[in-house]
Amino acid sequence: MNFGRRTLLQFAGGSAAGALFTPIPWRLLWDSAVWTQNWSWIPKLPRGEVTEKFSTCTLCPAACPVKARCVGNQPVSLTGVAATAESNGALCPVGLAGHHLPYHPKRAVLPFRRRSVNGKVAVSPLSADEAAAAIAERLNALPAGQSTVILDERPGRVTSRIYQTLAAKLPRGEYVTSPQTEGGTLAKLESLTGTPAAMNMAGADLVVSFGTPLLDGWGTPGRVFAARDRFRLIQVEPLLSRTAAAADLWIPVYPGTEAALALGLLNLLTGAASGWTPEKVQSVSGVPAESVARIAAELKAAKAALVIADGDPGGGAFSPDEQSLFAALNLAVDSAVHPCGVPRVTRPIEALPDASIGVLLCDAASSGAGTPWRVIARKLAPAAMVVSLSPFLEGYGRHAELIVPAPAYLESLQEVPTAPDAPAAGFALAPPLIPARPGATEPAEFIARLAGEPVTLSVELKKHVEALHATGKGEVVRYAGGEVTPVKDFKTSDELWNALNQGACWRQGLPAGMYASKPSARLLQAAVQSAERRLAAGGQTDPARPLMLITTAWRATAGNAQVSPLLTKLYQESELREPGNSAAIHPDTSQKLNLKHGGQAILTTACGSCPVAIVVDAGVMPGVVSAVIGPTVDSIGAAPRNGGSTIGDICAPDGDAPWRVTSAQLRRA
Amino acid sequence: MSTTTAKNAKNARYGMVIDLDRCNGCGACMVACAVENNVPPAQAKATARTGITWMRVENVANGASFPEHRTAFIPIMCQQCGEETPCVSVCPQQAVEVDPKTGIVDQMPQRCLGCRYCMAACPYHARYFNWWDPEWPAGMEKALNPEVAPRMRGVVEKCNFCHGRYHAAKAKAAAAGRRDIDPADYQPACVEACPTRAIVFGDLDDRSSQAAQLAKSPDAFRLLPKLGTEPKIYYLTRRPWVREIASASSPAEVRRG
Amino acid sequence: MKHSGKISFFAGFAVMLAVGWAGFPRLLYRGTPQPLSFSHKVHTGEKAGMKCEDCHVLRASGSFGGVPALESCAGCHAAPMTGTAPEKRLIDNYVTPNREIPWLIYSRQPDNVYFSHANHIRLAKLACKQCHGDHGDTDTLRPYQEDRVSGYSKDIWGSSISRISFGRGRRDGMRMDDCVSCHREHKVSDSCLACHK
Repeated sequence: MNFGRRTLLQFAGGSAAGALFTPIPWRLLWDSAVWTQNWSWIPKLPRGEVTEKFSTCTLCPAACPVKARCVGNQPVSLTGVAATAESNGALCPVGLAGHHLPYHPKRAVLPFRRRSVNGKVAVSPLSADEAAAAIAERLNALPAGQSTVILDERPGRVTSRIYQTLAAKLPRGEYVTSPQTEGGTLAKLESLTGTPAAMNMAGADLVVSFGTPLLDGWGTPGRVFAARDRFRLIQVEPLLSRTAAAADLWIPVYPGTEAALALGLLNLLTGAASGWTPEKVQSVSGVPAESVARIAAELKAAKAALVIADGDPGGGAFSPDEQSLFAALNLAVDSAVHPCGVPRVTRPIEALPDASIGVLLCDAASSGAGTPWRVIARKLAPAAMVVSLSPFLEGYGRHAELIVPAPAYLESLQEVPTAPDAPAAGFALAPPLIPARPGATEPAEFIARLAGEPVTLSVELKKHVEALHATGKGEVVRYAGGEVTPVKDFKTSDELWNALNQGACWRQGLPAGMYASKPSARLLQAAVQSAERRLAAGGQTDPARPLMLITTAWRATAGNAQVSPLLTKLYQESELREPGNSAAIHPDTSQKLNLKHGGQAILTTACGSCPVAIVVDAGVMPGVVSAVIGPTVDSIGAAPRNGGSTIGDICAPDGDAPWRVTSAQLRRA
Repeated sequence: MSTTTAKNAKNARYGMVIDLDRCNGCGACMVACAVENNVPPAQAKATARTGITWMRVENVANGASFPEHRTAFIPIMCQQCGEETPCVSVCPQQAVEVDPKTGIVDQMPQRCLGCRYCMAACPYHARYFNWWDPEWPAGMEKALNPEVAPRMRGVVEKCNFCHGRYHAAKAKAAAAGRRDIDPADYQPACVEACPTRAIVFGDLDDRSSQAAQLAKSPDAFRLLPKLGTEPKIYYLTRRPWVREIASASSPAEVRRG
Repeated sequence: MKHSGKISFFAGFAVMLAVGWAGFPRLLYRGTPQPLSFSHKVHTGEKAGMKCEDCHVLRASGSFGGVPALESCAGCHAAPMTGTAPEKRLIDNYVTPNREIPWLIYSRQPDNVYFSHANHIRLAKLACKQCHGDHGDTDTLRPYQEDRVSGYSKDIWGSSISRISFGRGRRDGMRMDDCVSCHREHKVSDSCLACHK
C-alpha cells in the first residue's frame, strides 16, 4: 500500500463523510446561530432582586416625589408616586429619564481648568484643593469695585441660607439669585402686600395665564393636571403653545403687550385703569374688544380665580412693572390665592451693577429656566473668573474657567424646597439612590472652604429637620403608601429625619381665611402707572430688524440643566419637540422671506447672530419668530463640543425685564 | 405531572383607549417606553425615519391659519391588530404571531431576519428597524431594565404592551398560587407615565374594565378601520377635526398645516 | 491495492467519528472550577436539614432568588461552625471582606429568555429535581463548563452531546426545544413571548 496524494484525499473524503455522523457540524451550526442572537458587544442585563426606593426629584423646582425601581444599588426606572397629592403618579419626560444623568457623556466627575491658549481651548485636571487655592489667589487680589458673587439657582433651600452666610464672609461677597420665572406673580403679590402668598389651584375654577406654560412644565405637573379638570383655562400668548392648544380659550396677543390686556381687565373689574377701554386694548395688543369684555366677565363671575403670569422658562419673566399689574388682578377678583408659606427670598442678579463681578461662583442646581448667558455675562468684569460647580459641561459650565463638579442627580443627599405652585410651604429630602463617584464636591461645602468656614450639608439639613420637628407644625406624607402623619406624632427629630430619608415630604397645613379682600386704591394706581410706563417704553421697532423674536424653552432642558441622552426620542427620532436653535414662523412670514420648513437660516439681533432651523407653523403670529432655547440635537447625547452660539446668546437683556421680546432679522443661510 | 385542572389563565384581549383631548404632547410616554424597553438613545446619524420609538406622538393640525389654527397630538404605537394582522401574514420567518392568550402581537427580534417586509405591510408605521447595534453611554448600561433583552442590529422591533410587565404580573400571581393576573399589576410603562392620565389600558373582553367601557363610547374610534384589521387601540376625541384627521388614510403623513 | 482506497476512506471515517464523539465535546467546552467548594449534601442532609427553598427563595413578587447572596451564607457562617478548609476560605475571602461569591451558574439562560420559577413551582408543581437533577444531593460542585462558541453553560445543551438519553428521570437539557416540547405536552402557552423577553 502506497501512501500518496490519492490516499490522503481518500482519507479526507472519509473524514468529511464521517464528520456528518458526528455532532461537529450540527453542533457548530446551532452554536453559531445562538451566538448571533447574543452578540457579545450587546450589553448584558443587570441581575438581582428588584426593589422599590423613593426620593424626590431635584432637576427643577417642581419637587416631584419619585419612585425608583432598583436592581441592587442601581435605579433602572423612575416614576411618579401615585399615592401623594404632590405627584399623583406624574413625572415629566426629563424626570422619567433622570437616572441616566450620572452617566451623561457631558458629565464631569473631577475638577478641571479650562484656558484659552492661542485661540485654542486647553483643559487641565486639578484637585479640588488646587481649584480652591486658585480661586483664593484670585480673591486675595480682587480689584476694587469688583465683587465675589455666589449665584444661587434655586432660592429657598437650606443651601441658599448657607450661601447667604458664606457670601458675607467672602471678600466683597454678594449673594444673588438667577432669574426665576416660576412663582413670579406670587412673589410680586407678596412684595406688594407684605404677606406670603400661595395658590390653591385645586380649589380654582378659572385660571387666566399670561404666557405661563401651565400644562407643559410649570409647577408640579401631577398637582396641576389633577386640578385641571376642575378649572377653566384661558391662555394669553402670542403663539399656539402646548398649553394654548390644550386651553379652553386661547387669546393671541402681540408679543410684549400682555400688560395692555391686563390693564383693560383691571379697568373693567375695578375702574382703576381709566382710559383702557376694550377698544384701546384691541388697538395695542390685538386682542378683540369683545374678548377683553368676555375675560373680564368670566373673572368677575369666578368664585376662585387665579391670574398667573410667570412667563416661559426660555421667554424670561415679566418685568416687575408688569408683574405688579398681574398681581393686582389677583387682588381684584375672588381669588384662589391664600396667605401661606414662607417668604420668598430672592436677590435678582439684575440688581448688581454691570461689569462688577470679579469672581462668579455658579451653583450646581438648575432653576429650570433657560437663562441666556448674556444676562449674567453683562454683570461680569473684564477677565472675571467664572467657576461652575455643576457636574455638566453644558450650561454655565460652557463659560467657566474652573469646573468643580458636584455629585450628579440621585448621587448625594439633597433637599427640595417649596414648589412654586404648592398650596402651602413644603420641604423634602432627596436621599441618594446611586453611590457617588469619588471626586465630586458638594457646592456649599466647597464655597464654605473658600470662606474658611467648614460646613457639611447633611449636618445643616439635619438641623433644619430638627427645627421643623421643634415647631410641631404640619404633616409628613410618606411616598410609600401615601400615609400622612402629623409632625407632632414623631417623638424625636431623628424619627422625622429617618422618615424623610426613606422618601417623604413635609407640608404645612392649609390656612383658613382670605388673602386680601380688596386691593387699595394706592396699590392699584401704582400698578397701573408702572405698567403704562413699561408699555410706553417698549414697542419701538427697528426697520433693519422687522421681526419680533420671542424665545421659549421647556423647563429643565435649558440653561444650567442637562437632559438624558434618551430625550433624543423627542427631538431627533421624532418631530414631537423642536430642538434648540429652531425658529418657528408663520407660513406668511416664511413666504415673504422665502424660507422653507426644515431650511437653514441666520437669525440676527443687535447682540449677534445664530444659525437656526426653520419650522413653518401656522400657530405662530405673523411677523413673530418663536425660537427655542434648549438642547440641540448634537448636544443631547454627543461628546462635548465647544463654540457655536445659541439663541440664548443673542437675546437682548433689557434692564429689569430680561429678553422677553427682541427685534430680529431672519435670512436664508 | 400533577397539573390536572385548568392549566391556563382565561384569555384576555388587551387594548388601550387614548383620550386625545387629554394628551398635551409632553412625550413622557415615549421616554418611559424607551426606558422600560431598553431602547437606546439615538445614534448621531439617526433621524425621525431611522430612529426607534415604539411609541411615537404625532403632531397634527386643523389646517386653519392663525389665529384659528389648532393642534392635537396622536400617540401612535403598534395597534395590535386582531384580524388579518398584516405583519403576521407577511413575515417569512414566523417571527411575529398574535398570542391567543393576550391578543398581543408578539415580535421575536431574535428570530427576525431583517427583511423589513412587515414594516412595509404595517399600515400604521409602528414597526422600527435597528439600523445600528444598540449603544449606551458608558455606565448607562447598568440602568437597563432587567426584564427586556436588548436587540441587535438588523432586526425589527415594536411595541408589545410592555411584555416584561406582563411576565412580572404573571409571576406575582403564580407566587400566590393564582393563574389569573391582577389587572392592577399589569399596566404598560406609557400608561403609568402619562401625567394627564390620557391612556387607559385593560382587557377589552372584560366588561368591568374601564378600557372596555371607554372603547364603547360614541367618541371612540380606531385608525384605518376600513382595513378590517381590528386594531385594539382606541382613540377618544370630542373634536370633530381631530377625528377627521386621525381617520385619514395616513395619519402619520398629516403634519403642521 | 484494490481495497486500499476503501481502507483509507474508512480510516478517515473512523478517525473523524472518534474525534467528533470523543474529542469534540472536550474541545467545545471550557471548564472552570467554582470559586469555592460547596456540598449540597451537607446542607440538605441530616446535620443541617435544610430544604432547597431555604436558600433558593421564591419571593412574594414572584421573582426567584437563584443562588443566594453572601448574606444567606453569613447568616450561619459569620463565625466558623465546622472549621473545615472551605469554610475558612468562605469566611476569609468573602464573609469578612463582604464580597459576593462569584458563583458560576450552571443553568443560566441567555438574556433573551424569560423563565419564571413561580409558574413552574407553584402552578405546574414541578419539583426542583425535574429540571436540576440530583444537584441538591451532590457533595461537590462540578466545574462550570462553558460552550466556547455560544458562551452558554453546558447544562443548557445537556450533559450528553448527542442528546440521546435513556430514562434518567429528567429532561436532559434546557434548550428551547426542551421547554417547548414540555409546554406542548401539557398544553400550556407556547407563544414566543411566553418565554422570551
